[in-house]
Amino acid sequence: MIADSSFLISLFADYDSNHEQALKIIEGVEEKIIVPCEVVSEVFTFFSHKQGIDEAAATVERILRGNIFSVYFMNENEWLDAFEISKLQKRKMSFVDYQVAYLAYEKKQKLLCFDKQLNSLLKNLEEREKDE
Amino acid sequence: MYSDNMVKMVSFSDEAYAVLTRYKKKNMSYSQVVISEMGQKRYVKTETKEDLLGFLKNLPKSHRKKRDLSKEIDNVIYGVKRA
Repeated sequence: MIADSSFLISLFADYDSNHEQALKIIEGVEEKIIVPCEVVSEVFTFFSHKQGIDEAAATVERILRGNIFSVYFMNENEWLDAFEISKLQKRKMSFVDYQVAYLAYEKKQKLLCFDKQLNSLLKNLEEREKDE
Repeated sequence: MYSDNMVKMVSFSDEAYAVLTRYKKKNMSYSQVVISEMGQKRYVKTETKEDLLGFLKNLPKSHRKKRDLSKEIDNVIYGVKRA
């Protein structure tokens, strides 16, 4: 499983409309959740702006110390592959979204995400593979 | 700043000394051990899933209005609206 920013933000912010759903998902998770380091950066930035630097740091600490999370550092080839996908897909999205979709697709991992655009991108990548 | 003939003294706890010695290879200084090994182990996994869920369920209830934050992420982080 790979988590994107929308999932982690829903999990840690009880005022998110998907918070209860995120908790339910975590309750049922038995395997490690891969968190790309770029996603950790996004979560930090989001909470830093929304709730202040202390909340942001505390949230990142929870991700780093939680044994269900594994922070993943993309290598150069993976970064370049994600870039190739961005050129093919031509969707107006953040590069981090492309990185997350690439990792989920390449590593055949379920994506934990409440972002419709990102889910749609991953679906498209999987369908392209079936067609080829 | 330290000149060439100055030595910076660092003291370790017995526990830290034991850990460093475990990783230390021949011809390695202790500071090399710290640089090459310890960075990978800065965040020890100390929280279980149950700890995390306990923390999240016992958070003081926020008074903010419930909303779908996934729609705000790009705007907050990058200052741009989703296409």
